Amino acid sequence: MTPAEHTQTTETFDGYIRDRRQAGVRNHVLVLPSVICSSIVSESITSAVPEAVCASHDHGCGQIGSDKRQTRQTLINVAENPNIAGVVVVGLGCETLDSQNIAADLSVPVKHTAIQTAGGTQAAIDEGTHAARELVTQAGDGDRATVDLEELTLGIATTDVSTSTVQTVHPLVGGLCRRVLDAGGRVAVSATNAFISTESRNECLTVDDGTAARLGSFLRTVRAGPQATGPDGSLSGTNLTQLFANEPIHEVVSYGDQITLDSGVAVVETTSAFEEAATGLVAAGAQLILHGTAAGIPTGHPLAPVLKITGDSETAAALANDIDIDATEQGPGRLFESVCTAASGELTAAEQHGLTTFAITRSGPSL
Amino acid sequence: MGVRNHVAVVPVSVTASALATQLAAEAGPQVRATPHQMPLDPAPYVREQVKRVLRGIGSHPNVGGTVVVALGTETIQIDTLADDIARSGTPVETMSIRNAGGTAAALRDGGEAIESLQVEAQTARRESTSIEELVVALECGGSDATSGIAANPIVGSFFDRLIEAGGAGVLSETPEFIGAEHVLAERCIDEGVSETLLSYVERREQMASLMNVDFRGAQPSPGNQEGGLTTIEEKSLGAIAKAGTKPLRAVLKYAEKLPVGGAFVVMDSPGYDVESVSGKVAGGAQVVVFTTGRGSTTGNPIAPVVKITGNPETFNHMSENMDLDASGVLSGQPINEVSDSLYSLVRAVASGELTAAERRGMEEFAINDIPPNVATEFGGQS
Amino acid sequence: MKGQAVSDAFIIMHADDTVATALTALNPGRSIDYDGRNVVVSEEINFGHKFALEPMAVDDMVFKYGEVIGRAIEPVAVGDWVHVHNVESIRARPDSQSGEADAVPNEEGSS
Repeated sequence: MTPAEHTQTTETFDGYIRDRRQAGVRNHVLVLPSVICSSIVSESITSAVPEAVCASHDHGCGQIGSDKRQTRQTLINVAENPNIAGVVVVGLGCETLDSQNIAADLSVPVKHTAIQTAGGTQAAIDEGTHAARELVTQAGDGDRATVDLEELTLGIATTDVSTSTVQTVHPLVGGLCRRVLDAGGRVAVSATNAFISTESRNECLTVDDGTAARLGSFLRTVRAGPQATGPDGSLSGTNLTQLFANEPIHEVVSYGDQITLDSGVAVVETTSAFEEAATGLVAAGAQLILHGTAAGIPTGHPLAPVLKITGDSETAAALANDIDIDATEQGPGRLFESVCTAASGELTAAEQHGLTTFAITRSGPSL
Repeated sequence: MGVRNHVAVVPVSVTASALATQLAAEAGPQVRATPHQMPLDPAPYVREQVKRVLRGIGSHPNVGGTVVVALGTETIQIDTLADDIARSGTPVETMSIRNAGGTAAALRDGGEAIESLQVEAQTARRESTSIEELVVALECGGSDATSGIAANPIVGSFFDRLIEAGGAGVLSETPEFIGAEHVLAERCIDEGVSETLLSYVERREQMASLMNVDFRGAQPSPGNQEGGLTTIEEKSLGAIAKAGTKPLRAVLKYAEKLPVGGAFVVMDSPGYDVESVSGKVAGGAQVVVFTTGRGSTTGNPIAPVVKITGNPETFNHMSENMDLDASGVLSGQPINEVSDSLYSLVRAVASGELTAAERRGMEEFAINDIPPNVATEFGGQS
Repeated sequence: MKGQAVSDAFIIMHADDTVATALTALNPGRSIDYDGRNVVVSEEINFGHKFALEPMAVDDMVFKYGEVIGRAIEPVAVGDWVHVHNVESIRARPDSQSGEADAVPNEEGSS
């Protein structure tokens, strides 16, 4: 996994070297509330420390069973993403997802504060700010080093199956995936809408029977959902698989879990809401997300840069400052370059406007 | 009747939530965002519930003007929502990211829309009015051994007095009725109301079973037992003590419009505090009375939240986040005396006095979602 | 609810109650006068825990907040500690297996 082993290749980016993880494309200190009750304290800490990012969310209490476990896994695995140099976990003190317990399970540099033990919100803000500053110092100026593209886990999110996305974005993104995969990198795919709109037997696309069964089971659950209409056949199998370079699927990952394979394509079990899907990709290990959107959803993610790509020329014109790549005009070379420069530190459109959302998919009711 | 005069920035979907938050942050403390995580196309079975919340917030009595913000491709139409809000008499503006021409343009145009509503809202003046126009929401969070014997009974005494004076109030957190639902059912004004109540309680219990969790079997939790709670009846009786002794007039859906004038009603909601408070505020509650033992610090963007604790250590340790110390009853102070203080405090807060949560900028907000497995099992709520 | 604390020793939530709740740790032998009556605490009662104001036979209902909170499963004398060892719920399903298999703390949810 060290860059030296692959000196022949020219496929590289400038990242932050991490112990036991892939390289980061950003060097964030993460302020992570375990529950909505500590989200405002977390945001206050983040405002006081410019180098920090915040992952405030609406959950963390009144959750039970598998839903509770999924939220907990998600919080832990986003904190383990290579873009994160250190984490301040912030709790209230009486929440279901106990903050101290989450902090104890993290392998990244971590500090903890809780409102009830600190003695109120201002006291927790003070403690958390101090902790975040220490982690920023520890993270250093963050000198980037050139690393092989095999250290990249590219997150791909397509949230619609409009003609522009399927005909224009899928093949262009597929070409990019090919280069990442050929370099030994990983591709994490969130394209649930496209999967359930495809008539063909998805089992054919997987590397083995276990993976096929797993994918089939996920798609059956989505299709059996109260809103689902079943495959409408609007996509051919090729329409779908083009998105990830017609490569067989090596792994299917539960929402909130990390990818385990060393290279290849992994499908992440997400909803089609971009904000939730992006969190699933970041938890899976994606350092950078490429979002195919016909509507021009402009939202960024606090933990990973998001490149917006559209095949809808009207959207590209209407939201020119929010769209990074107009797939009707830009070719594979330009897309590859955009990904590499974004991975190396150039700000994406979403990073420039600065509006991000961190959402988590729920799998059970609040109680 | 409003007790505050906010300008609300209401996002239609999660995609516009960060924009709403940023707009409110740039515009200052009068302007309040209600960000949430409902997607661009919420499933049909949850859509009505989401609409009720958005409409309820946009036309809330504490809101003097509303900006509805959206990407522009949402299933819930921004213009329909704005029309609904306008019908309540609240001045409303809309802002779509797509129509504005992107995020930066939406921030600029949204800021202008807020400014014009602020000018309009500034014409409002506080006037003396009757308690009959007040709707108070009850909530408890971070309970401990003092909750059921100090803070909740004090709120119950306050609540009886409020209803007697012609005010209205709402109790929610349905899972916390389990084991004491028969007591609330006996207080319902007729059989229809009690049947609705019992069906909501049963449904919450079945939701837990759906997740392979047995509510009755798991309560009181080991921590509760250590604190002295023996049975689920005792725990739930302690929780519903907040709602005093008056007849129960109606049982409402989450975020349904609350009646005013001498009514005690129940709203179906989770026990999860922020979603529960948001539902009651969306229903029209202007003030929230919130009891806590261990020290919950949450507020709400639209309604002031009054924090009362019966735990003297919590009050001292977290004084910056607490409004009323109810621990006097644990050393002989009569309940009526403390509930008098609470009554005066609620009146003062309704008249403009800031609560601890307001002073600290605590304004958490969330909409209760219906996940697919619940919808499959029970159908939606509309 | 008309809870009335008896000095700082205990509180009776309702006139019909057969138990009182300790407001401080009470030692065995502690004798307290209240409302023209007297109770002698027979064992150590911690803050928030209950003791009997009336004698109870097996199957007698236990009252707090003026409502039934459970049934005695053992004879209880005045002044005895009243808790899970001698009282059980009437409304919890007796056949139920308790709780979740996993063990993350704070299972009680938000309250």
